[in-house]
Amino acid sequence: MDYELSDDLKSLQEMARRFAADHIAPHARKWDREADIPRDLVSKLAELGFLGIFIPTEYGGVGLGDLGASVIMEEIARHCGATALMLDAHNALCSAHLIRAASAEQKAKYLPKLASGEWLGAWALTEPGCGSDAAALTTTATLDGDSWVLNGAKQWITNGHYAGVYVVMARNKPDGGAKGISAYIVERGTPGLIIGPKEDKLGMRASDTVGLTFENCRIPKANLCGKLGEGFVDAMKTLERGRITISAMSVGLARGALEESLAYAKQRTAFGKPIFEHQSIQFMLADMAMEVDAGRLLTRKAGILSDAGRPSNIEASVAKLFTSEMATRACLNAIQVHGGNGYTKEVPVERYMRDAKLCEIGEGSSQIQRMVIARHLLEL
Amino acid sequence: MPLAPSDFVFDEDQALLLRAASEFAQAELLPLDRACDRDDSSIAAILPRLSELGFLNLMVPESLGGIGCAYRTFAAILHEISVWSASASVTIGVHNLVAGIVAKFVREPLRSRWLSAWGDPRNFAAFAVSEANAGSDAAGVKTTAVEVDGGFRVNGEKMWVTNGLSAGWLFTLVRLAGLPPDKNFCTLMIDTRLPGITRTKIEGKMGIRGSETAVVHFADVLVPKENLVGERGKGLETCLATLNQGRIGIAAQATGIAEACLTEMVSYARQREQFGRPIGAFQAIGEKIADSAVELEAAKALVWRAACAVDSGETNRSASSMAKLYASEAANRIAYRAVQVHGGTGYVHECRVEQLYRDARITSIYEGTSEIQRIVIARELAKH
Repeated sequence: MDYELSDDLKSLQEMARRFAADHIAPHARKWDREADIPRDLVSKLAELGFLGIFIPTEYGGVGLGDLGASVIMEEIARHCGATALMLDAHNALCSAHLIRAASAEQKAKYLPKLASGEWLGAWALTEPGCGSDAAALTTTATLDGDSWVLNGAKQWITNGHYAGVYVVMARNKPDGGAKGISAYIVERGTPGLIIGPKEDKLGMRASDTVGLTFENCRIPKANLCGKLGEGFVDAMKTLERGRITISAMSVGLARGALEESLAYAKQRTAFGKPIFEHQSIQFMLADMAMEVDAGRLLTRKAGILSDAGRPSNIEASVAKLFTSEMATRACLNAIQVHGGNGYTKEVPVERYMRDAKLCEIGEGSSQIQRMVIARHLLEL
Repeated sequence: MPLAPSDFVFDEDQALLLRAASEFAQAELLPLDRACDRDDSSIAAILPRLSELGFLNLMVPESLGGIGCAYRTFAAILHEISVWSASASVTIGVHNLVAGIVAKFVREPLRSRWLSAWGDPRNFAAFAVSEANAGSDAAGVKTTAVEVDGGFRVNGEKMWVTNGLSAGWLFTLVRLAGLPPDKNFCTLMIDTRLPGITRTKIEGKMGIRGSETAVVHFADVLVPKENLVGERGKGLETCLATLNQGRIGIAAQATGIAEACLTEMVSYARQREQFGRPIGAFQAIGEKIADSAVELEAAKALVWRAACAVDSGETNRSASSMAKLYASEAANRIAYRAVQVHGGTGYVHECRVEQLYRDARITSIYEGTSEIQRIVIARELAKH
C-alpha cells in the first residue's frame, strides 16, 4: 500500500485546493462572524460535484470513494471548517445513509436532488437525552394506516436549518433496544417537523446546527429507509465510515494551523532573528508538521482499506481519534506561535482552533473512539 | 502484526520472509535476548544462525548471493525482529546499513567482492562515527587520517560503536590531514584485524544490553588506500546519506518494541482481575491500550511512508526524521503505559515490559536525537 495519490486524485486535490483558496479563504472569517454560509457558495460547490461525492454517477453524483472524499475534505477544511462540516453531514451522513439503505425508488427520488445541491441533506440521530448512548434514543415512529407518525426531539443537527431532506432515526418498537430503531426520510415542510433556531456555537459557526422537534409528524409509509429494525445498524455503519471524512477535516484544519504558523514565524522577528530560528518555536512547528503527516497517513489508510472493501472500522476510529486531538494541539500551538496576534480574530488560527474542537466531540467523541478501539483489542 | 499497512501489500515471497523472521525471532532470539539483558552480554553469539537464515545480507542483490530485499521489506523485517529482540534488530540493522554504504559508494571490483561475502559473520560491520566529544555535532570528530605510502594512518577514538566488539569491518569517519579543516572529512572501511585497534565494551547500558556498544581506539592503524569510501573531503555527506535509511531502521526498531508492549498490555489486562473483573474492563486501562494502539498505528504509517520513499528513489529527509522522531517517542510513551498497566509486576525484571521500558529509551537518543530530528524537519519545512 502506497500512500501516494493517483494522478486523478492529484488533479482533484489541485482543483479543490485552488477553489478553496479563491472562493473560501477570502470569506471564511466573515461567514464565521455572521454564522452563515452564503447559498451561492453551495451552488459553486455543487457545480464541482462536491455535493455528490459518494452519490453514483447514475444519480448525478461523482461516485468517489473514501480516499477521494478525504482529499476534497482536507482542502476545504484547510480554509473553512464550517464549510467542510456542511459537506460532511450532507455527503458522509445523509447521502451515505441513503446510498447504503434506501430503496431504488427512494434513491431515484432523493439522490439527484442532493447531488445537484437543490437540496441539502441532514442526518438526525442525537437527541437532547442521548449522544454517545445513541441506542437510548426516544423519538418514536408509530405506524398509523398509510403513514408513520414521528414524535420526539433531535439535537445538534448539522444542515438542519437549510436541509431539504432529513434522515431521522426513530424508535418503532418501544422496548426493542437497538433493534427497535429504524430510519425514516422526512422532507422539509412536512407538517409536524419543527426546525429550531440555529445554535450559537464556539466554532463551526457558519455551519447551521439546529434542534428538531417532531409533533405528530406524519410521513408516508414508503419513507421507511432500509429494513424495519435495522436503522440503528445502518446508522452506526454510516457513522463508522463517516469517521474517515471527519478525520480529513481535522487534517485540513491542522494543516491550516501549520501553514499560517510557518508563514508567520518566518517573518516575525525577535531577539535579532525570525522566530522560526528559535528552537522553541521551530520544534513546535516540526511536531505540528509530523503530526499532520501522521494524521493524513492514518486517514488515507482507512480510506484505501474502505475503498478496497476491506474491514476499516478500527482504522477509521484510530484516524478519527488521532487527527481530532492532534488538530486541537496544532491549533492551540498555532495561536501560541502567533503570540498576541493569535489571540485576535485578525488572524485565522483562533477560528481554526474553535472549529477543530468540534472534531473531538462529534461523529463519536474521543471517549467513544477509545472504547471502540479498546474493546476491539481486549475482546472483553 | 506486520509493519505494512495491510496484508495485501507484500507478495508471497516477502510475506514468507516476514513470517519466517517473526517465528525465528520469537523462538530463538527472545530467549537469547532475555539472557543477554540479564547478563549484559552480546547477542552476537547468534551471528552464524543469522547468516544461515539470510539476515546478514538482506538487501545485497541476489546476483551477489544476497536476499535482494526492497528497503520496505527490510524495514518490515527489522520491525518483526524487534518485537522479540530490540538488540537483535539494531545489530542486524547496522550491519545491513553498512552493506548499503558499500553498494552505493565503493567502486568495483571491491564492491562486488565485499558484498558477495557480506553474509559471512567475519564481515560483521559497525558504524564508527561518534566520539566522546562529537555526537549530534558529528562535524566535531577528531579521529585523523594521514595519507602515507600504502594507505592512511589513522589515530583517534570512536565511541558508541554498535556491533563494535565483534565487527570485522568499521565504517569510520575521519579527518584527512592536508585538506582544509571544514572540507577534510573522509570515510574509511577499516578491517578490525589490522594492528593498532583496541576495542572496549561500554558496560552497564540501561537497555538493548544485547547490542554491543564499544569504544574503539586507533593507534597508527594503517588502512589500505583502496578502503577509502566515496570521495576525499566528502565523508560527512557520505555519512549523512546513510542516516536517512538508518533512521527508518531505528524507527522500525521502535515500532517493534511498541508492539511488544501493546501485546503484553492487552494480554495482562484481559486476565488480571481486580474488583471482580478483568482490569481491561475499566476505562482507565482501556484508554491506555487504545492510545497506545493509535500511536503505534501512526508510527507504523510514518515508517511505512518513509520506507516506500526510499524504494521509489526519493530522498525524503523529512519523512525519515518524522518516522524516527514519532516512533521513538511513541515507543517510550507506550512502554511507560505498559509498565503502568502491569502495576507492581511491571516493575520487576521477570516481566518483559520492565525490559521493554529500558530498551525503548535509547530509540529517541541514537541515530539522531529527537532534537536533531526536529531540526531536520524544520529545515525541510523552511523550504516551503
